[in-house]
Amino acid sequence: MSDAPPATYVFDLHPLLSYARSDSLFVPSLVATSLQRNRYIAVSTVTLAQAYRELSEDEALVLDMLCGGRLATAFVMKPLDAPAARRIGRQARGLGSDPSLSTIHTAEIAEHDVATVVTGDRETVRSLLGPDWPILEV
Amino acid sequence: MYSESMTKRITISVPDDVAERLEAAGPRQASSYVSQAVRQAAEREKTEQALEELFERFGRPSPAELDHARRLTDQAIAWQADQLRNRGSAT
Repeated sequence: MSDAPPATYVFDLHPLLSYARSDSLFVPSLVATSLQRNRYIAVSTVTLAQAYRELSEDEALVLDMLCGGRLATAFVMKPLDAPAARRIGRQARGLGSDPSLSTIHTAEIAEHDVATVVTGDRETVRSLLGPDWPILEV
Repeated sequence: MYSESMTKRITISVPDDVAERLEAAGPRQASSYVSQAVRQAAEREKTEQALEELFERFGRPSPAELDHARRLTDQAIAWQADQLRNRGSAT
């Protein structure tokens, strides 16, 4: 795991897509209040890559702002290093069905940073982090 | 390359009450106070610009939406602090 500062939220794929597509003001409101509280939002680089894959060129411009614009001050990107890749790959195989690698990496980051998960896949996150872990569903 | 130890002497004018505090603190401490205050102000400015950029793109959330998000964020921060305290006391 990198030396990046700990985050209060970890965004999975769904909040990133919602953010980029301007689906609602809920996700921007979470970003705004995190900024106001001087807190970070972590994003797995696997999730980021997956989001770029699913967004149109125009929508993806919003993600560019997260990586380099002023909004980047609210976000901390968490890379997937080789040991983590090994862990989450094995974990995905063990889960049987077809869990998203980005959701598994998101859960791992949440566990490390003790952060609330923002996701559209509550069930997978629950199965990874247990029933009491705070999750916001988008 | 920039180094923290690099400093520059500048002259500024401040109101009487600020001058009084800085004089009482002594030259070294006064420089540290001013540097800290300027850095904090720059950080706040950056945050405000980021928020403006956010709202320009998405529209401005209503006060109720922001209140709701603020409550959730405060809960997340409190839960995190609690968990970290527990982890700390367990080791």
